[in-house]
This record gives sequence, C-alpha cells and structure tokens, in this order.
Amino acid sequence: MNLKQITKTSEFFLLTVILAIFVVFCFVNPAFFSLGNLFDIAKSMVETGILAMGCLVVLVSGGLDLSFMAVAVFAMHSVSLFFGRNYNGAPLPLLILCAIVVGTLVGLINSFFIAKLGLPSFIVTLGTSNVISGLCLAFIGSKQYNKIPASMLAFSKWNIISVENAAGGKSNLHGSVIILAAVIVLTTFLLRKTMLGRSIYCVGGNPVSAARVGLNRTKILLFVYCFMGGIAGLVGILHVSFQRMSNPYDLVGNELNVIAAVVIGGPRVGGGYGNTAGTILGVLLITMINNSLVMLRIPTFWQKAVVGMIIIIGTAAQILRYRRSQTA
Amino acid sequence: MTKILYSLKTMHLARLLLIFLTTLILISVLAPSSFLTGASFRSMAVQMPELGFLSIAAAMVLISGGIDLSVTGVAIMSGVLAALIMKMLGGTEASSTVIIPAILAALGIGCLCGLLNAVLVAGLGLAPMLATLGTSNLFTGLGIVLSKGSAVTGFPSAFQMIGNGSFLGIPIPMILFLLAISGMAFILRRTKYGFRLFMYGTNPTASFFSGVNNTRVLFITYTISGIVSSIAGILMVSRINTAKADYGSSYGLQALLIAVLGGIDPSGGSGRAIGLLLSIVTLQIISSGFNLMHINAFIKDLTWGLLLLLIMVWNYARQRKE
Amino acid sequence: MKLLPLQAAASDNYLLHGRLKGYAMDTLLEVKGISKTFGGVKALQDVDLRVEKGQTCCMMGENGSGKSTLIKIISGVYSPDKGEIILNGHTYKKLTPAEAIREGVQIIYQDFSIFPNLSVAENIAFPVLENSGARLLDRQKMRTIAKEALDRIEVTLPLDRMVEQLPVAGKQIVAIARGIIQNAKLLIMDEPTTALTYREIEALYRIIDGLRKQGVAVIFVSHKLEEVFKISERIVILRNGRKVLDSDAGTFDRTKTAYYMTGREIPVVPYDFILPDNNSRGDPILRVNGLSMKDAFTDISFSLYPKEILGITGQLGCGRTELAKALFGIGRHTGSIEVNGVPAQIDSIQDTRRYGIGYVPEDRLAEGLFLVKPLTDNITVSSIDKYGSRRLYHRKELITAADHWLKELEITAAGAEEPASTLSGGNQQRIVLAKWLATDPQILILNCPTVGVDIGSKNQIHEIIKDLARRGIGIIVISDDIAEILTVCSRILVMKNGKITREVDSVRITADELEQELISAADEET
Repeated sequence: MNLKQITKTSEFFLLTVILAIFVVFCFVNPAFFSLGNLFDIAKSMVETGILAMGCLVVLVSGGLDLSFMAVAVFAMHSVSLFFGRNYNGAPLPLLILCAIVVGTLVGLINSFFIAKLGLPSFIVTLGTSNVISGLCLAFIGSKQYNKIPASMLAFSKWNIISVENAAGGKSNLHGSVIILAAVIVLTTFLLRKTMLGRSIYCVGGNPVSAARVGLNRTKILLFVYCFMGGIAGLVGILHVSFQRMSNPYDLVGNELNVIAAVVIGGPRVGGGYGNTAGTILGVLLITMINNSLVMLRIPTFWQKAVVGMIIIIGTAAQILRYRRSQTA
Repeated sequence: MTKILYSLKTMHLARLLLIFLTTLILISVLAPSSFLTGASFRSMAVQMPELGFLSIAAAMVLISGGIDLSVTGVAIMSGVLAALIMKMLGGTEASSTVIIPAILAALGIGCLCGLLNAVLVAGLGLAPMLATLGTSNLFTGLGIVLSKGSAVTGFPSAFQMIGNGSFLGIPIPMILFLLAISGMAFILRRTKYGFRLFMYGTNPTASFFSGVNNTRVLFITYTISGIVSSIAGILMVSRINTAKADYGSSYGLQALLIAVLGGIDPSGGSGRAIGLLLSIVTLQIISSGFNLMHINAFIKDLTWGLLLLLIMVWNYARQRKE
Repeated sequence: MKLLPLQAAASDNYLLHGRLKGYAMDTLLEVKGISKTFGGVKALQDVDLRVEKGQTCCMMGENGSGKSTLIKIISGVYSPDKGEIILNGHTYKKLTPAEAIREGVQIIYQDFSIFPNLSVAENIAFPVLENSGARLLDRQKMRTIAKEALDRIEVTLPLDRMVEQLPVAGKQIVAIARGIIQNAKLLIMDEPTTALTYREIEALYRIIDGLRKQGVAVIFVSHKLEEVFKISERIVILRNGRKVLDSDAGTFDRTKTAYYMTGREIPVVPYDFILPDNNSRGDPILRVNGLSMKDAFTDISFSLYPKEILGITGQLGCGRTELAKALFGIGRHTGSIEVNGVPAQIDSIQDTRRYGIGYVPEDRLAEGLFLVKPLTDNITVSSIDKYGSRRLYHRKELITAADHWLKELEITAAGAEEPASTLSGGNQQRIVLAKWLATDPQILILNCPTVGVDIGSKNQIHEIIKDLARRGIGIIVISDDIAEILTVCSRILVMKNGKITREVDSVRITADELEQELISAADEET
C-alpha cells in the first residue's frame, strides 16, 4: 500500500479527526497536552478497548453480542467472591485465568444457541444477557463485595511508568495498558494472520460461500462467542481491580457504548468488515472526548450528549465518505 | 421452506398463548390468596404500561426491519422536558392547565426525536442500529443536560393523576396502554400505512419498485415510535412524581425482548399487536407473581431471558421436524 | 501460452494417457443409472452421462428438469438413491463434497460464491490454503497461488483489490481461477453468461477454450441457444428427470430445442399489430423526446402507440435498463416525456403510477416479489390506493381483487393467501404482472420478462403480453433474448452505447440480422 492509498483509508481519516480534536483541546487547555492526561486516557481505554476487540470479532463474523457485559459481571463476581472467601492470597494470573475460563464457559451458552442451533445472535444474546445476569444476581450474589483478593488491590496500584510532573505530583501509567496492548496484538494476529481469523471474515462476508468452500461455520462461530466470553471474563477482573470491589450492578447496560466505539472505527459494520486499528481508534476517540470534558470546563452532564453526537456524526461521515469513494 | 416459516408465525402466537396460560395458572395455583386480588391486578396495571408503550415503539420499528435503540432516550428527554415546563410554570402550586403545554411539549419533542431518527435512517441511509445508538446517547444526554444531572420534582396534582389515578377502577396508564395497543392493531391491520409498513419490512427493494414511498413509510414509523416513547416518558414521570435522566435506562433492551417474544420478527415484515400484548402480560404476571411469592427478584430477569430462548428453540425444533 | 512447469507435466501426462491407453481412459466422469427422489417426486430417473477430458458439454433443461439435482449429485451435495458415479476411474456409490473436490469437480455458481470483503488473491487461494491444513496465513504463498491460477487462464487482475470492487466479469474470473487452482478437471458453470456483456462473454469463451486445451472438461448450464452452439461440443437435454437428448452439437437440429425441452411443439404466433399510417394513427400514449441520463444514455426519442408492443434490445450495458428505469421515475434525466400528448413530470415511482405506467423488473425475486407474503399482498401492493377509503382498507377487498387476477392470468396457486414463495418461476412472474395490471396501466414496461422462466411458461407469458396489448395497453419489452423480441414485439429499437441506432419493424428483420446488429453494436464499443 502506498502513501496515497493509506490517506484514503477510513482509519487514516479517523486518525486525522482525533489529532485535530487533540490539537483543539490542547489550545483550549494546555494541561491537556500533559503526560498525566495522556496516561489517564490510556488507562481509561483499557476496559472498553479490550471489550471492543471481542465485539469486533463478533461483528466480523456477522453477529452481534449484547450479553458480554453480563458475562463480564458473572465472571467478575463469581471469581472475586470465590477467591475472596476461600483463597484471598490467590495470585493475579490465577484469577485472570479463572475469569477467562468462566467467561469462555458462559460464552459457550451463546455458542450453543447461535453456532449449534443457528438462531439469530441478536435475539439469543438479548435472552442470555437476562439469563446470565439473573443467574449472577440470584445465585452468586447481589451485594457489593469489598474483600477482594489482595493481588487485585495490588494490581490496582501497579504503575509501570511514574513521572514527576510540574505540579510536584506524579503522572502514572497503569500496568493494565500492557494487557490492553497484548489483547490488541493477539486479536490483530488472530484476524490477520491465522486461517481461523480469515475464516471468520469468510463466514461474515458470505456464509453460503463459506459453506461451499468447506468451512465449518459451527466451529468458527463456537470459537467467536467463546472468545468474546473469555475477553469479557478478563475485563471483569480488571474492572474489580480498578474499582477495588466487585459490584454486580456495574457494567451491564453499557454494552451499546462499546459497540458504538467499534462502529465508529469502520465505515461498515458487521459481516466480514472491520479491523483492530479502526476499532482502537474508535475507542480512543470516544475515551478522549469522555475524559476531556472536565478539562475543557464543560459540565460532565454534557458527556452522554456529546458521545451521542460523535456517534451520529462519526458514522454519518464514515458512510458518506464511503459512498463517495464508491461512486468516484 | 418459506411456507413453513409463514405458518410458524401463527404458531409462535399459539405457543405464546400456551406459555401465557401456563404461567397464569401456575401462579394462580401457587399464590391464589395474594395473586387473585384486585390489589395485585391494580399494581400490575400500573407497572405494565410504561414498558408497554416502549415495546410498542420498539415493535413498530422492528416491523420495518430496523431497530430503535433510542426509545428510552426519547422517553427520558420528553419526561424531563415536561417536568421542567411544569416547574417553570409554577410547580406544585400551578393550576391544572399547565400540564397541557407540558404534555404537548413532551409529545412534540418525541415527534422531533422520531423525525431525527428518520432523517438519519431514511435520509442519510445510516443503518438503523447505528443511527439510533447515537441518538439514544444524544437524547438521554440532552435529558441529563436539561435537568443538569439532577432530579426534577414538584408537579401539579393533576399531572400525578395521569400515572396514579384510575377511571372506573382501572388505572389510567392501563386504559391508555390498552388504547395504544388497540391503535397499533388497527394501524397494522386496517390502514394502508400499516400495509405498506409490512411490505417495506419484508423487502424494501420490492416495495420501492412497487411504488411504495419507502421514505414516507420510514418517516411515519420512526415518528410514531418517537411519540409513543414520549408517552412512556410522561407516564414514568407522573407515576413516580420525579423526572430523572437515568431512570428506566434498562427498559430499552427489555422493550426489544418483549417485542421479539411477542413474535415481532426482527428481520422485519411481520408481527401483531396481540402478540405484543400477550408477551407483556405474561412477563408482568411472572414478575408480579414472583414478587408475591417472595421469590428473589433477580430470578425474574432470568425467567424473561429463558422464555425468549425457550420460544426460539421451540420454533427451531418444530421447523426442524417439518 | 506460457505454461508453468507443474501444468506442463500435467498436460504431458494427459497426452501420454491419451496415446497409450486409448479412448476409454480419457473418460473423466461417468454417471450410470442415477435416480433420485425427493419426497415422492422423481427428480432424476435412470440418468447416464459421460464426459471426456477436455470436453465442453452443455446441459439444458427447464426448471425442474433435474439438471440442478444432477449437478448437485456430481458435486457430492446430494447422494443418489440408485446408480453410481465414476470419476477418474474411481467408482462412488455416494460422493461427498470433499471427495468430489479431490477428484477435481469444481462448480462456478451463478452467484460465483466468492467473498466480496476479501482480496482477489485471498479469494483464489483460500480453499487451497485451508485444505493444506495450515494454521497461519502465508500471504506470500497466497499471492503465488493466486498468480499461478490467473496465469493458467491467462488473465491479469489486481491481486490486492477487494473483490466487491470488481465488475461482474472480474468476479467470475476470480471464481474460475479459484476452481482451477484446486486442480479442477471438471468445471461446472451454472448460467455463466447471464450478467456479462458481449465482450466479457467472448473473453470467457477464450478462457474456456484455453482450459479445454489443458484437458479440463466443462459442463455448461445455459438457456441461451446462440452460446450453446458457439461453445459446446456436446448437448445434453434433460426433461422431467430423464435424459431426452445427448448429441453432438454439430449434428443437432437447433429448431428442435424447444421440442426436446418441453416435450411438445410450441406454435409461434407473431404479434400481428401493424402501426396505422401517419394520418390515422392518432396520438401516441407515450412520446419520449431527447431523453438523456449521465453515463447511461443520450438523446433517446421514440413514441409508443396504444396496442403496440415496442421492443428495446441491446447488449448488457448499452443503457437499456437505465432507460427503462428512467421511464419509471428512477434516476435523474433530462429531456421530455409526454403521456397522451401532455407533458409528464416523471421524477418518482409515485409519479409514474399516476400517469398509468407500470414496470416489471428484471430481478423478480429481489425487486418484484415479497416471497413470504401472501399472493394477495403481492398483487395489491401497487394498487392499494384503489381499495377502501383514502387511508383505510378491508382485507376482504384485497382478496377479491387478488382472486380476480389469479383467474384472469391463469395463475396456478392453492389460494390467494398462500405465500408467493410456493409458486413456480413462471407463475411468480405472472404475479408481478398482475400487480401492475391491477393499477389499470396504459403503459407497461417489461424488463426481461422471461429471464429464468421455463420455455413452456415463457410462451404463455408471451401470449399474455400480446393479449394485454390487444386490449389497448402500450407495452415496452426490454430484452436481449432475440427470439423473444422477434415473436413478441411489433417494432424494435436497437440500442448501443446509450443511443438508439436502429428502428425496424419486427417482420422486416430476421433473427440472424438482429443478432449481427447486436454484435456489431458491441464491437464498436470502446
């Protein structure tokens, strides 16, 4: 791809928009261009960014998952409660592993209905979302839980870069961005380099042809929804660490905000289109705006309206740009 | 194949009716003393309509083959607007007449919201899911902005009557809801717009080539959805006597669940008002019944989800057999 | 032709076998006594078929004749109830799709079955890479494979282009290349020329010819007689699940095709309308003057009189479809349109309906029908304004109207409330006709009215069209089916490059002359 082609991609467009907004913000409030603020934005991207990777994979396969927040909460609350009560000294990797396993297993429920029975993902996950959060609240616990394993608390304070800033305080980059980076790399590798990833594009792009080429749709979709489940489990643990408690009422209800970030990242949603670069830029755009309203002295209650505007303008611009490129 | 699908749609209603009767009988048997009382029916009749209106709004757009994620956003914004107008015009002390401009403004903003969705979907050609995902945030956000993020209270008593009063022993919200669902049935079965909506929902290209004004159908549909959502907003504010921008935000996906359970095909082109009614009554009986039997409230969510999965799998299994 | 070493070896091998082991070893596919029943319906009965290496065989038959069932059996999608399939000397009672592919059977579906969202290279190479069991995508290897496949059919395509950005012919080439590189020995092409322009068809023939020289056999499913004779060495016709003809293309009497396919002689009754002379012909119902549309057609002028059937013909891409749509209010155009001598402002379909213009689209399934909806809805959707009051209607009225049209057009259906999907292609097309007849049109524009319709049904539809014209409707038929144009129309306009190049009465031109006219039109394309 030469330079000219790159400038025509929607990712480049998105990057330009982000940089433009960034520059404007820096003029309005120079503090915006500080390491501390950049570190904050990075940390705020972690949860949405990781979930967005899972959503992207689901969207590429031609489906939609509305249940991942319920899965995340289920994994978060069950793992926190179990280890908090029984083995408070559990190391973080074990907790993360357990949450991923729980998430994947819960994701299997979706896989069963969507991949095995071939029911529409939208309706299935609408149902399983209710079922999973109902199960969690009814049988695992409906109260906030504070005595989370010590390793989670330790993780919440784990900064990989700590820089003294002008005001004498410290600007910290939280270690969770490594996990975000790892998930991005992993998803990029999956989608771009593996045959499995390419099969997901095939199934999403043209399910009938995929079957004729001999691809096993059931297996591929089975993987897709389990992947989403595992990702959700991971985010569950990160969320507990960030909040320093496990609150089963968190997260659920914010599914659409994550999907919105993925959507802004590409001109066309769903079935066979999308890439990690666009998605992460979409996440960056939304996070940046969310985080900076305070610094721009805009009352926080504007936040949701602004995000709504960005989604509308963002998707409309992407669509119009795409359409113009098609006719030209 | 398609013939089977066609008959399945009426089968869906039959199954839904069976589920409804089963739950009704089960709960009547398990908790006869508390369930079969006027008080319990009255409480159901007060709770049901808000979600009911939102489901009607969601269902109309689903029939067009689209999806409206902004129904709660519209409800929130119009509720907040009505509340602010009443507060501005005197609050609790104001005369009953101030509710008229308040309600009109709420309905008006609902109409505008619907029009905006229609412009994005029919005019710009955005995918309905993306457009309404954006407007959902925008409308809710504007609700927050208008109320500055806090609760708005203090309305004339006449306004509270809407959500809490009753006529001939039937709660007013219930009367309004029954009117609305009959209206929906009438629109779908008897009006030419309803006919065109079904045709558009089935195959937009064919309806275009058949001379149906697709843009017009979409505009009417999203506007109806907006107005109906704003009625839900008015009822909500009136019932709890407070307008708060984060209230009822979980209703959006629930409204979709009710519509799909009621047999509204999310791929568009089919659905009936009676299915929607059955679906919402069933779910309300379950949640009230569980409440009366002191069953953990969260089991309710679980059951709702299970019902949706159950009916989908049931349809699927029958389809396989045939 | 530049052969890659691998293929050179393969074709040497082929020659060797040919010389040493004689004719019998050259048989690629042999199907013996195949029968297949679906729920009591005999789709195939005792069918034999033999295809030699490098042979081009054309398979013809009406819808329901069993040809698609036979193809699915050869490719392993269905297993036969009786009989056996011999591929490359291996005998199969039941063939799986994987086995069929291993034996070199590749199908080029009508929709090409490609991935619009992937690059050319990936589309071509994906199945090979997938079957190699690799877990990671080797992009270098992918490009090499794709390049080799395209070289083999002597075509160049941009390897990194997304397939959705290719024209139809390009997509087809991708599908062919994908089949070839999977070591295809038998390529089955389902109606491969339907969406191609004349030039693209010629290019396709060259590709097929090249493949033949490499020893690849081709089974060609087609409806178009001209191309059947141009490309095939053998013709096989199926009817009601039986093979009724298996002949050398050279010795086959082409006038008998319809007889073999339908099992009966179909009398051709030309439409007997003669345009009255200038003084007594009166006003045209439609007069088009200097109509132009950007990138589609320029300066089109013609008139249409009551009772007339006007044919507009031309190769794909000559602007005929755009012209039809412009008359139906789709797309921005300049120039004037008069209906009954009064200037008409036609900017939307709602406008055209007001002027009594109806349009039967080419793509019946996507543009014409609501498959899951009852016939009633399908028939009344365009005339809904006629029934009931301004905004309301009663379903009973719609059903009455639908019943009327079912009878009028002799549509075979279980009832007006059956979904449209239960009807055959010919009956479905009649439903689309009924939809517009219900609006009491003065002018009907029919875009390729019998595409994908059986020969039997085709003639019936032609009779209906003539009958409608006799009743006073002016009809425009747009088609590239020369036989259709000649039997149905009274006057013919030939379009090329967006212009009308010839106007002729149908009695004054023969099929061969008209075909020449069309081909010359294509040759002048730049």
